[in-house]
Amino acid sequence: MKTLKGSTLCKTLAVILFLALFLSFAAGALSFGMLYSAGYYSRGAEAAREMLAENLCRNEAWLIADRLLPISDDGEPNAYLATDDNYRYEIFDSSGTLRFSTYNGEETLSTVTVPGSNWYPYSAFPEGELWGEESAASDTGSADAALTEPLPTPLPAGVTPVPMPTEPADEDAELSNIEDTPTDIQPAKPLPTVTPDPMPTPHVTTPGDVYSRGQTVNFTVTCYLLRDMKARDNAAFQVRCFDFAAAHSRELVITAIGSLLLAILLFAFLMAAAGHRKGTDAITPRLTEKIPFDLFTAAVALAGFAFLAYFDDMMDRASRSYDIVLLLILAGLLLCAAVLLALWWCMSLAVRVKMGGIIRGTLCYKLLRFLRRAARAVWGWGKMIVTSIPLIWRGMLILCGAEFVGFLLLAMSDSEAGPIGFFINLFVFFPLALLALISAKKLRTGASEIAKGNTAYRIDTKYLFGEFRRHAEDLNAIQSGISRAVDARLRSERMKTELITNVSHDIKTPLTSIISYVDLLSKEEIENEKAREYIEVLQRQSARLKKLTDDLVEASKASSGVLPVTIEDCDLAVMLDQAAGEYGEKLAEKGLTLVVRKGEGSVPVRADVRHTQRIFDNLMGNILKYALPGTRVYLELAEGKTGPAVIFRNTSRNELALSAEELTERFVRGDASRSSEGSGLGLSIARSLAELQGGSLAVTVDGDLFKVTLCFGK
Amino acid sequence: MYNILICDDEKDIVSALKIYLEAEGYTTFTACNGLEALDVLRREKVHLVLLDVMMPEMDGIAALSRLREESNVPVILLTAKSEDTDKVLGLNVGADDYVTKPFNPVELCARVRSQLRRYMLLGGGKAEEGTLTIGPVSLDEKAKEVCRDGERIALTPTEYEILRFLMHHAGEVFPPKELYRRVWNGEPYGAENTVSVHIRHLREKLEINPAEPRFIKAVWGQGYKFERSGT
Repeated sequence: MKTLKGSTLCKTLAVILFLALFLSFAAGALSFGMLYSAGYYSRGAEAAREMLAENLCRNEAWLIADRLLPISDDGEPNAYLATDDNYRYEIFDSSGTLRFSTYNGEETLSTVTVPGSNWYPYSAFPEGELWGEESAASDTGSADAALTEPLPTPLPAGVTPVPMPTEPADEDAELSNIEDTPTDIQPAKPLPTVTPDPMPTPHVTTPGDVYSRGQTVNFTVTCYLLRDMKARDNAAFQVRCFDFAAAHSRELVITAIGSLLLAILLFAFLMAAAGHRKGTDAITPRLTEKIPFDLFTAAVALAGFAFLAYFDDMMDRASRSYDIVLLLILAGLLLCAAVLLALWWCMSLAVRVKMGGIIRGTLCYKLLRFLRRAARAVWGWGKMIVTSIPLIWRGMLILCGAEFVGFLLLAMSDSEAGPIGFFINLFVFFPLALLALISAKKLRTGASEIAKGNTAYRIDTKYLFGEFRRHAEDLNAIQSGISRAVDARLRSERMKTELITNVSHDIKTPLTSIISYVDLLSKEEIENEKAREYIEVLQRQSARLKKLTDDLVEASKASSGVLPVTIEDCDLAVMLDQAAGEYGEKLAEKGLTLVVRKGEGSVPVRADVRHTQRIFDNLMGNILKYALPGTRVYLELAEGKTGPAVIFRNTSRNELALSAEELTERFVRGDASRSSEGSGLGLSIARSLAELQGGSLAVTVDGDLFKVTLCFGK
Repeated sequence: MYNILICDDEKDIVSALKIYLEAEGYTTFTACNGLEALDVLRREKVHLVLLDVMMPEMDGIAALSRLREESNVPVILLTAKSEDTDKVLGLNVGADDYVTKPFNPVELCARVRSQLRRYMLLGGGKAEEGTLTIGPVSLDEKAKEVCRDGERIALTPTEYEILRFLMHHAGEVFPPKELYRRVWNGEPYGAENTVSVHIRHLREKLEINPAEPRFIKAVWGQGYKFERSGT
């Protein structure tokens, strides 16, 4: 099968066979159609034959009646009323008088009479003068010539005439025809008025039967179909075809059906074989398949229509021409061409279906795709151009457009279009301006929330458009970045505090033992002087360690902000008095003189009492540790940036090698050797606590002058 | 002498405390968690308990609440936690005093002595007429004597007047000027720090640990007061 499919010869043969079968089927079908329409299957062969003859005869009669019309009165003989075919005519005027005849009383197959009418003399009978005043002018030879045409030659040799049954019902048929005729007159038909002599004379006109010009002339045409068909015309052919078909009706049907079935089989084979070539399994497209499918289809359809139109024309001509056989052959060729075209199209379709992408291959599809791409490209360029214009220029363009429209509307304001301007303003520009204002307000609110440090705030971008939306998204991105950083910072700070607290607690337990046992050791009676000295060092250092762990917890708590703060009303003057009372004597012991400078009356501040005490403790403790003996220590009231402030001033015992900023760092101490007591956390804790209650603590170093400004919040 | 129960999971601390307390002449029992402590308490006659807070098996707070169901023996909590909430919790559950680790052995012994004296010698602490008592501090206005846990404390007349005034208005805060006016009966005229100096002296005499005052407290920026609860 595969080799058959691939073989070009096989396919060519198949195509030829297919054509032959198709023609065979067409012939069979046509014959069947002819028999059926003539009533062969319902009425029987005889009646059908008569019916056919009558139809032929009536058609001819109507044809004559019609064709008498367009003939001008120039006196030319009517070629249609020839006597070289198998028809004969008789024409009667309205009074039933026979006016013209070519019938010589031959035996007929069928006779039909039809009425006709015309104006005299614009459309005349063959013998224009026949009806006129000079009706006697019978000398015109035109009619003679027509009538003296030699009779059709007999059938060529080899063509056997269809046997015509000489039926007795002939007379009946004639009678029935006569009854059928709508004409009121039916003269004695067998009356032979014209003799078939070589010089047949036209009928003699009745005297007084004169017509005037422009008068309507009514007449009847009687057409006879001769039984003995000598002429090879359409009628003879049709009757012969009928006789043949009637003789072989069964064989014809069988042939038609067989041909159809075989043709279908061949068609299926051709469809299956389409696109296959010898030596390859793949579908190989031909040149045809390179043509876009829709274009191909259109061309084939056009050609097909042209062929069919020609075919139709040929059939039409065949129905009334003598060259019926030639015309039928031509028509058959045209039909073959049309069938070949259709087959070609079908095979191409089959190949395309097998290859796939039939729709994608069409020109329409390509065109549509191109159009879509073009539209997309244009849209993209437009967008690019619009977005590449800077925001301000874009805004300016829009505003200019709006102004222009406004100007146009203003110009129209006198006319009927005036209210349109108002409504456009109301429903377009006003809402747009409102939207812009609302968007701006939203952005403003969002930005101020971010500035306030509200890390949970998000700008709702749902109803924001264009640049507003982009701005809002940027702000949200900044916001989330900040809140992430803050969260991470807070978490790490809290973890640090927890770690320090836990470690400090764990250190405290062994430290308790150390302190206790060192104390016990110091109470033992030890002779060795050095041992006593060492124990003293242990005592001092363990005390320092204790202080350090306490301070460490305090410092981490203060700086991470987990300490609770209770702000109360305090009096700064009282505070300085208390400080003087608490530390005055200790300072005096160290050889320091405390000088308190404050005015009369109270100085109200808001502060946390316990934290403030701790700050004073730390600062005064520092002074006790680091102030140069014999100098004065000043405590002074002042006005700070955010509220009242206390300034602590003292002269340092050691040279201050560190900057003010470094001094407030954790674990930094005034003496670089770090040998003295203290944790190095005092200032740091003091600053954290001051900030915790809304104030600040600033350290200034000027040579040996050490100055701390403790400022309270409002 | 008195029997003291030392309860701590840290053995070295227990033995150190044992040495101190036995040097003072007390008899000691030891326990290393709350359950053991309760067991000892059931078996022995104990006059005072030193109780650590953070212990395995049963912690100090739980042991204390069980202990209080059947006895009102004085309890001093030893705690490494210096946060206020822990102190308040301990005192609410029924502790009589507390010391925070790392503690000073001398201070601890002083507190033990103080608690024992109040519990054993003063008994229920019947209120004598003309005697003002807040917590362990009592002030005899007739004899012009001040005692802390029955131990007489010598004060100067001014210190006595200040203490008397503050105890009469326990819990109230008085600015130095106001205090001066009420005690000295005159205007201070720049002698405000006299008050604070006297307060400091008073505190050094009255308090067991003057750095951590329990009775006379300075409210920074406002003035001074006598703590009402007396702990």
